[in-house]
Amino acid sequence: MVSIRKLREHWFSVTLYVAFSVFFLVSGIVSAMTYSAIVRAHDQIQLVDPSYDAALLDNGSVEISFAITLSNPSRYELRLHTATWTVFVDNSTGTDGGRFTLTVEYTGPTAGVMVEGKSEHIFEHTAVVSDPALLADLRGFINYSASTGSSYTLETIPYAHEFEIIAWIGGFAHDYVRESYLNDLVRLDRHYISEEDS
Amino acid sequence: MKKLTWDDIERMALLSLLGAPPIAFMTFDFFFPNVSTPSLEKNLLVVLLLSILAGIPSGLFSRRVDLAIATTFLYVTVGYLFAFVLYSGPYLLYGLDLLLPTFYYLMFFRFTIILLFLFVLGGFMGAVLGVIIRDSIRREETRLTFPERQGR
Repeated sequence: MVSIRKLREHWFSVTLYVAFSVFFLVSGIVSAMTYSAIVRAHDQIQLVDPSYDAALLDNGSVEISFAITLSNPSRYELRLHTATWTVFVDNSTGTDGGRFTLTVEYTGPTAGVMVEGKSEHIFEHTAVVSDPALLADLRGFINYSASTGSSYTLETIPYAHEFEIIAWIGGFAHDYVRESYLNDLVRLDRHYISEEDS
Repeated sequence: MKKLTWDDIERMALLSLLGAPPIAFMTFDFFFPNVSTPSLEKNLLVVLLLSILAGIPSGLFSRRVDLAIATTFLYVTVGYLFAFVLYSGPYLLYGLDLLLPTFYYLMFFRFTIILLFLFVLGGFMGAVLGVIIRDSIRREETRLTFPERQGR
């Protein structure tokens, strides 16, 4: 072994060097733990417990509601960037790509929604479809479905719900222009589409 | 050519272990400046200066300059391998599935390979500086041990 006497001779330099080395060792381990926790958060954060409903109102409009929970078991808070809820009906007889959209709700970054670490957040949306043109489309869908043996009402039409959320994990920087992988590392993108459509 | 003694090998191994953490951290931080603490923010001048600082002990504590240079190569290699271990953290700690391991590690290698040149260059500069400091300390010690006699 390198003799203790030699180390004692240079105790000041040796202490400085060891402190220098230990500082970077601890920094490296802390950084790697942070990176690991972020990668794990991507694996853990999920959209769960979706529920949706449609009800016919007295004035003939249709009220469509949707709720979904964002479960965040990670230690980092989530800062909402965008959340988009879309309701549509899959209409294979149509000419506009096979579906017609009933409503779209968008929540942007200025809403300032934050989901704390180790918590859950419920996103709830409600929309009333009262546009006569859209209601006519829905009735047309019901009539066409009746001719193929399916009996639907405005309440039981298989409305498809699509929900997408984009959020930033923690307060980590994500404004890199060239190194987009750094933005992707802390960017959370979750997408849900109801079973009727998928 | 002088022989390598067991004491030299031990000294080189010790210096490689102590010199590796700064190299590992700087490599990891260069790849993930947004999640590392503290971050050098990809500032190559700071990386070079820290590499010089990390290289000083190999010159200061090695008896020969060729061994100091060999030690520089050694601690850069060990540090770079340690950076790969830090980079594998999520998969080692939490057992997550790595979908494209070759791509994953090649990307890290591709983004950080240029740093190796800086580490070695800075290490050499630091080693030379270390040798100069060591010689200066020895001269000072000799002067204090054998003071000049008056009248000469």
